[in-house]
Amino acid sequence: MEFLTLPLFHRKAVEYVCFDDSFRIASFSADAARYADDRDAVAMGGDIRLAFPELAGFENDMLSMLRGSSNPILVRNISRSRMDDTPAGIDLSIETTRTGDTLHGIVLLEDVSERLRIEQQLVQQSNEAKLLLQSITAAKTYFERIIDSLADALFVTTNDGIIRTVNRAATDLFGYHKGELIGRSIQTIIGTQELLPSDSNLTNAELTCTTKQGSRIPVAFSRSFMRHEGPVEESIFLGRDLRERKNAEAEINKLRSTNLYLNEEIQAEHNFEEIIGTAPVMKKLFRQIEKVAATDSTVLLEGETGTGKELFARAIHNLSSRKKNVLVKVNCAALPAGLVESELFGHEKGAFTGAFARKVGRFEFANEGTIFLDEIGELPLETQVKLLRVLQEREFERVGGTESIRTNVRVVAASNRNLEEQVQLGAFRSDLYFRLRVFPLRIPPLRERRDDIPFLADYFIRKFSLRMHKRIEGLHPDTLERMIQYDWPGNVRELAATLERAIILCEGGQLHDIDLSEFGLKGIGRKPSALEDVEREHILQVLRESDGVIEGKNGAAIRLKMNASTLRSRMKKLGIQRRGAGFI
Amino acid sequence: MNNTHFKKVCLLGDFAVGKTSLVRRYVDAQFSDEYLSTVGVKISRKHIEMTSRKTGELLRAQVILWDLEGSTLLASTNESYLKGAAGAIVVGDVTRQDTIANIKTHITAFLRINPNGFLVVSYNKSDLMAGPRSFVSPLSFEGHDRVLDSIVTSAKSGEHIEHLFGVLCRKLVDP
Repeated sequence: MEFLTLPLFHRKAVEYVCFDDSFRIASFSADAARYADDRDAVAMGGDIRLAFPELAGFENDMLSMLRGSSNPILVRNISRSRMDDTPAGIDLSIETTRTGDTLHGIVLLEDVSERLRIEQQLVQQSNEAKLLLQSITAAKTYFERIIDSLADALFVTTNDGIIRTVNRAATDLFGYHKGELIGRSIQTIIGTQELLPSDSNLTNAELTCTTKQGSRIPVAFSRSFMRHEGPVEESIFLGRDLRERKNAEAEINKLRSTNLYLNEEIQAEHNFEEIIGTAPVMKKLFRQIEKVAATDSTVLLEGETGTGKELFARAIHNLSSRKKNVLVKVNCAALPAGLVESELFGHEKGAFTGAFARKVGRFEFANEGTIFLDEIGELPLETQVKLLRVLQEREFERVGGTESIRTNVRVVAASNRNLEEQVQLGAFRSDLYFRLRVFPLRIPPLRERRDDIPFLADYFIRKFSLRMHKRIEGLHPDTLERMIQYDWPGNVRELAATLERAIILCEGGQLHDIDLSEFGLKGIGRKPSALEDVEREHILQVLRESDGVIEGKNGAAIRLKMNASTLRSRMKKLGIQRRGAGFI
Repeated sequence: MNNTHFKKVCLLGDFAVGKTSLVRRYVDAQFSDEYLSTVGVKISRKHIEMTSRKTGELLRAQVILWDLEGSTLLASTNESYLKGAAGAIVVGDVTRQDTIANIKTHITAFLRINPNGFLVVSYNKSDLMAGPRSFVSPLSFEGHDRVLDSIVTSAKSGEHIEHLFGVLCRKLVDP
């Protein structure tokens, strides 16, 4: 056909196929079929799209071209997966050619196999490199996520301690940004502590480290080495934050001590399970306790020995909002003089010889609870100062410590001494006395509430007989009457001890005088007979009413209308001696 | 043969997401682990037959599959590759999050040239997924009413390959 000789086709080694506006093949070059996907379809009148499926989809463009209203189309680098002599790569262009008055479509086919092969090699290498880079990036991200998920701080350093890698826990713990740590010495973190010179592994060495903000924190460091070929090249430091553990240990120690203390308390025999009292003076006292218990005010319990001051302290605690917390009891008279302060306020490790560990004091135990300071009059003067500070400022320091510890403790103090007199004698600080005496409560002696004696006797008889597996029905009426008449200088404690001893000896179902008289209470119910006896009893009575004070305007001497030195002389002659806050 | 429908379908996606493997699995029922980059375009065709859902007649078509060179730079894709396509399968590799993220870009590029075309998304290489059969950030195609479906596939195992092509071909041949 004529148009086959057009110059266009001589400038390139191309094959061609011409088509009409029905996409039917109008002519084709000799080797055109070699480029076709279906060689048999390259025939006059055949559908060009069957021979060259690449043309599907371009139909509208092809028709536009035949109307002269569309530009040629070039599709480069077409390949087909065939194993015959079909060119591996083809550039295909769709254009038009005119033969006389007729415009035909023409598909030009150029073998670009060699170019495609070279491009394929380049693209292949490029894509493989990209995939490798993506794999490396993914692996790096993967391992960074692993080390960032560690709860422990991780540092990888060079031989001479220069930090190369850190994880998130490390930056979080020490407050640095990653960029601030990379390139710096590990000593930035661990200070000058002797870790670097050694080339041995290290396990859980407890170090005190400094954060960026200057806080000192305990950290357990372990070090291992990443050995490459040859000498050691990198160290791996793993640091575990010990703050939580240290706090937990301190809490455990405190709980252990508290537990020990509470066990001791449980094991300790309490004289009273509950306060028994029907006398008006007791009822008035109960009302006062109910009122003061609801507050946080300091209470001072005053009363003779054996009146049950501890029981009243318990009642105040149990009726207060602090009842869910601990009531810590301290008998100030029972504490060794040298250890009073340590017992009350605790001490730091090494505060004094024998202070092998930190000790938590009773005030720290009692935080949020109540502390009962029994026999507070026995407290040394130097400790009284510290106690005054706790009462005023609600804080103290452990012995040997510098840190002030805040405390929220309700103080109930008790004394069987006349504290006012102690103040006058200079044995008790007046400022502390007035600080304690916010709400004084006087616990009456048993002789002032004789009506309670039958109830108390009944209570103790049932308690002790149950414990001793004895059937004791009660007291003989005469014996009870004599007990009511007795003054009970040892108060409820004396009554309890007397009945306990009687029950041990009792062989019948009822307690008689004989059971009580064995233990020096021969005076029960006996009226004084001799003049000296009467005089002795009278002086004792006045001394009790004067709270043991001899001199002064409220003293016993003025009441007895005699000189104080004369009274002392008479007391000595009658064998009246001071015992505790009272006289016997 | 005069009544045969020709439907040009392009396979788009980043490089090495498995476009060539999907075509090979669909056309030749074969798979090779060897990675060979595609340069330019590889043409394959598949004769399909289906019964019309509307008329019950047997429909025949030739699907001309244009497996395009993978690229993340769609601007560089020769527009003539996309021109005249009735549909496309856009492929992402479930083990490479960035290839999933690029799916929307490929969709946009395709619809710019063929606004009336239809697409199906292939989350390919499901055989490499660890754990539960889900992967990070499946895409949402709200607003893309031309996207017919998103299908998790494996050219290696053949999982969902027929379904992948079938959904698109049904829409193109028996709309």
